[in-house]
Amino acid sequence: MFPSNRRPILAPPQIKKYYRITVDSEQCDGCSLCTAFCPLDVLEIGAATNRRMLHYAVAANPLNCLGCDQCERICPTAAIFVTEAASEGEALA
Amino acid sequence: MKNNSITVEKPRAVPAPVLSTGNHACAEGALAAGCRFFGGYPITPSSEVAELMSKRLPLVEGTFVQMEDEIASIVACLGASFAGVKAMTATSGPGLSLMAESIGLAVMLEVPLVIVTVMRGGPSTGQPTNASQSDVYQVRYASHGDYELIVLAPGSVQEMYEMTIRAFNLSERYRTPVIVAADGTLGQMMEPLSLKPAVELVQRKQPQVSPQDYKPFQVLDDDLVPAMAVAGTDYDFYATGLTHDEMGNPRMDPESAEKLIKRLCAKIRRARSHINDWETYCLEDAKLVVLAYGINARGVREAAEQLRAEGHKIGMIRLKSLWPFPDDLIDQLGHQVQKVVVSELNNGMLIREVERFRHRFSVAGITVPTPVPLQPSRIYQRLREEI
Amino acid sequence: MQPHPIGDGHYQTEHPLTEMLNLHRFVFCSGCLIGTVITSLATCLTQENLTARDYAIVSGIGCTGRSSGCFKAPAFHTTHGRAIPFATGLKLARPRIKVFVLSGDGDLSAIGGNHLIHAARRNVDISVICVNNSVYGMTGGQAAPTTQLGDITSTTPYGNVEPPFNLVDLAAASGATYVARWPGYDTLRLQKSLRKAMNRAGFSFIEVIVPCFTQYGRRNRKEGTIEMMERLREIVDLRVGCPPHDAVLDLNSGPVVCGEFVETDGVGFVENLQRLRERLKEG
Repeated sequence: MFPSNRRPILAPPQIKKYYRITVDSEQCDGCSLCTAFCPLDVLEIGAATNRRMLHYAVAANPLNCLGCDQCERICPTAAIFVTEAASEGEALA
Repeated sequence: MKNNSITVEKPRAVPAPVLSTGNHACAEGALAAGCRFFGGYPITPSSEVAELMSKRLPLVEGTFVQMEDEIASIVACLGASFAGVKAMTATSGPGLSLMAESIGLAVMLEVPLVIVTVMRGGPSTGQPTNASQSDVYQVRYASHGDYELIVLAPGSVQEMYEMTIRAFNLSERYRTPVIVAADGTLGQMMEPLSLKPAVELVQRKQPQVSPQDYKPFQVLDDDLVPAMAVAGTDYDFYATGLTHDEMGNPRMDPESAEKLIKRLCAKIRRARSHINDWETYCLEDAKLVVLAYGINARGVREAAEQLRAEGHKIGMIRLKSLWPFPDDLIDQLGHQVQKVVVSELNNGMLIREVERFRHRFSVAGITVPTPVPLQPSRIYQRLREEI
Repeated sequence: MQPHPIGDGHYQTEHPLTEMLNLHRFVFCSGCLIGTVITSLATCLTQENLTARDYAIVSGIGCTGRSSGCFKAPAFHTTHGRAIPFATGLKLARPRIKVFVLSGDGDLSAIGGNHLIHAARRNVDISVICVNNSVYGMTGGQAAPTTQLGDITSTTPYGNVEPPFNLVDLAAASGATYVARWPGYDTLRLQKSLRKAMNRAGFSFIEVIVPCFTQYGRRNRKEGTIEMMERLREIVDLRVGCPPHDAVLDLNSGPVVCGEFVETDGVGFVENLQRLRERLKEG
């Protein structure tokens, strides 16, 4: 009936969580299961190669990571794992 | 040399000998030696070993399982041994054939284990309710591959008891499977058995380092026996049947194979003087020596005694362990003896080991593939021909 | 998800499963989900705070047979088909430890078939994880009792004419008290199932479908790991309360029925034997 003139004092907080993706380049053999399972195109098989001359996975867009852990769970060689990062800097480091 | 040896007192002293079959004596020996796991499968003429174990093991907090076949039996015993429990299985020729691969696994993983085989006629089904000594090579060479094995040969019901205890001690001492090779007659016949009030037991070598530093197949002593960690402790280890290095890592290079096989064989061969056992009769001035083992040795002894009484310079050796074959003992005979006669209940098996010394003395055989022990008179006749 | 690291440049550099696994022993083909089964089991063990003194892993021969060495625990690589009796001996001799059998379909159902049905019958308290790739992978891709009709393998060059086992049905009919089947990529459900298996008494049988692209896929559909997994995902049919005999496994045209098929309370073999011992003490 009567339009309310109550308005929020502050904008709702935008909580952005950051995640740090670590890949053991020697343990990774480039099977690309993690890149296939990642829902947000965070990972890709990079151009660099390891000592076994295999291309290994890298986090191309780590800021997109939402921490679903799919890559960590599916990796058959336990080469990749995801941890919470305190800041954007930590996620990219 | 880190050897864990303890003496165990039986809770009650047995005043007089009891009448027992060989099979039951074997089971009693196992229990006295601390065997607390038996995985078995019935096979004539050894089933009574399993039957007595099934009665007694639950009473001493042990485990008896009748498995679905012989292979499962021996493999379950391997598992139990790796859980730190002394384990045994009992079978006969056909069952041992099935266990062949697993014996190799036991050698490769260096598992303490006792296998009792009550030999019967073969090949194939043969004569299940009779005796035989025709598994002499089978007990040694059942598995494929290059290995040494300890085989004991009891000759009486009392020895079934004592040698089973000895088998456990040897298997724990050298981390190896040990076979007790009896035969159907020995297993079924009844004789007085004196149970020992105190028995000396050997326990397997324990790791002396922390789990972080432990290497499952590393040898730190001259006896070439690695310390054995078991499941359920803080130790982790990889026990694989593949050729491996001291960490247990599978290794496919030629050097690893050579090194491992040579150590596994040397481990047993080096201890020959400790393992080999025999009994002699009138050997000092003998010109002809008869070699026998197991149940057949009784008839041979009687014949030998008779010939001695007639003045012939005859001696006898009763082998109490068949493998490793006592080469040194036979070689020694070459100094004084002109002929060695081997008597066994098969078509000529252990005689081939003796024939390797043909250049030292002549060799003859009273080898008959018969399922009953040879009559002393028959042996006497044959020996007279050989003198 | 691991807790937030220390910060100021001190990041967690080691995989959370490093203490549980021997990472240098992962010898599988690149992309083979056997590794995933291993890491799933290792994750469950870590979550349950189990260390080397609490469990043992037994495997047979084959690709999955190499998995036991990946664990920093008492690990046994036994002979072909004999993982289950070995595990039985371990468990009965030391009932306190949790014993896992990690082996392949050929190892467990062909040469090891007898041991499988008897351990299930006895309700031995072990967890058997059967990695089913419907072929003998390590030895070059020979046919297995789980190979589908018509498939080409190195010993069925004209197409397999033998119908395959339904391992779920086999285990259930033999008396297993927990039977489940999961696709290899479904790590969350697999982990939940593993946790259930390791904390219950009695015989647990978990079949995990892991496609073999190196031997099986190459001969039949010429696919890689991702393609085979996508195909599997299309034909997987997750069901609740499906009876074991309806657990169809048709890798070619589907469906691949997955889920938990049996979950009953039975007296485990360890307890059975213990009750016997107690009865004798009283009597």
